Amino acid sequence: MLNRDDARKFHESLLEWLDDAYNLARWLMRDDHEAQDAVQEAFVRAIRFAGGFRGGDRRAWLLAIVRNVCYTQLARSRATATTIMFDEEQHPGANATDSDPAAVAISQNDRQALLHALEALPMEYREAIVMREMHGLSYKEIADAADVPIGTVMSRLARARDRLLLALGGRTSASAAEPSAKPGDSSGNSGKGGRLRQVR
Amino acid sequence: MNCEEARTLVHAYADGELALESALEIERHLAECAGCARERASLAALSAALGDPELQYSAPPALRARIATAIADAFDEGAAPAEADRGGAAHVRWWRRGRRRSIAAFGAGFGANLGWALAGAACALLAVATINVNPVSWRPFGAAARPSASRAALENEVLASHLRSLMPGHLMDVTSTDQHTVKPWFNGRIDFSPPVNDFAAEGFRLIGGRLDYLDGRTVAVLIYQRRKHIVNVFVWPAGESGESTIDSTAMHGFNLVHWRRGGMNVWLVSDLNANALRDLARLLRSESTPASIPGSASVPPA
Repeated sequence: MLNRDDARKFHESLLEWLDDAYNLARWLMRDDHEAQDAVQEAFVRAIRFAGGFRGGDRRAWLLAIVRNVCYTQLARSRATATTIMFDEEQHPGANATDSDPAAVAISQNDRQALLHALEALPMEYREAIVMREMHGLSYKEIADAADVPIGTVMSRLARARDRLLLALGGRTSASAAEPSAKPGDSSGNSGKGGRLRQVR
Repeated sequence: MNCEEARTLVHAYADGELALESALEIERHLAECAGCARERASLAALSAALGDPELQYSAPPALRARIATAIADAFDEGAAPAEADRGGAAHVRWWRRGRRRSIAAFGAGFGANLGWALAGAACALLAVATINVNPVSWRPFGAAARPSASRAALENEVLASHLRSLMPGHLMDVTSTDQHTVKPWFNGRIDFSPPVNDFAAEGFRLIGGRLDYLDGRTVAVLIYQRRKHIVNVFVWPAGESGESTIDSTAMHGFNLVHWRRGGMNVWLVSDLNANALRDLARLLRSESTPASIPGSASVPPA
């Protein structure tokens, strides 16, 4: 257990990441009030379990708590059944790799399309992409937070990006809609984990 | 490396997660294969787009305030959980919007302390909400244990009032950006005439006014806005004459500024940064004229 002063410093330092916590919760819950509830609950838990913090990145630790609270809250509410039961095998990502080069530069006008596409992503994809692209978490940190193998994080990120690029490219390039030939590879670590840089 | 392998690994490469050897391999492939290079460029563009701050949500000020207060109070009042126990669970349920399990489930240690602090904060906020019913008995944030009417207690009151004003429907009684609408609105409602000026040109837009209760009396509140930040300006007649300089403090992530001049006590509170808040303070202070001396109006309090 931390001593009192350390604990206080620790808790106050958590506040530095309140915007991160709220952003993640807001993208996962897609609702301001639900997100605020989740963040409050996450801070209560973070403080309660502060003694269990054993080094590593505190922000990633806090975000993992936020993520877990969001899942718990969603599990209590209606929409969950469809979200949690989402089957990656049944929803192969579209492949946007052959899209027109013009689609590469994503304009301000496409921000709205991106926002909608991001909100429309399955929860598992959305959390991976938000943690990676907005919060800069490593694959290892995302895998720990979501309690899945790193290979699954990789395939979720790849699928999420394919969908986002498709949503954006779909506006500027018809060729982006070309169906995917990519085989489903969500089976976890399909050998490619060995190519990743060593993490701890 | 072939294209199929490259398309699988290009994500990890773009994310800086590939081991050096594989990174070099894929770089060689990207140099030769236009299709895969385009994929790499698409990922970079997508990354840049997702990094757009416009897509990021910031925590609402009220949430920040609740959590900051809860953390501070977990330490300030952690020693007296029994006191906060009275009626605490019901209030906490309100605070947690009635959808969570009971406070008892929070467990031991800091969680328990925080829980009690939340109960205390909820009590304080409820007390604020019912202020018109029983104003005298109210002291915010468990301030009853502190010296009454002290500077710290007043700061607490000012902050509590600011937080309450941020709750939906509590900010303004009169909504107007026109100082000639806001100023007369106070006539007949309070026994003094607060100085009302719009500083839109300087970046502080007057958006309205309301009455509030501070330091044991009804006070005038002017509300200014700078971008998304709300500034509450509390004004009431000073019991004593004389002037003070502009004096700043920070509490729970909010900035408070105070001075006394022209017979008026003035408090500013906002989540705005300290420098910007002092800019507004200087503007307001330079506009406080002797014309607004207390007692110039003889209308009884509303």
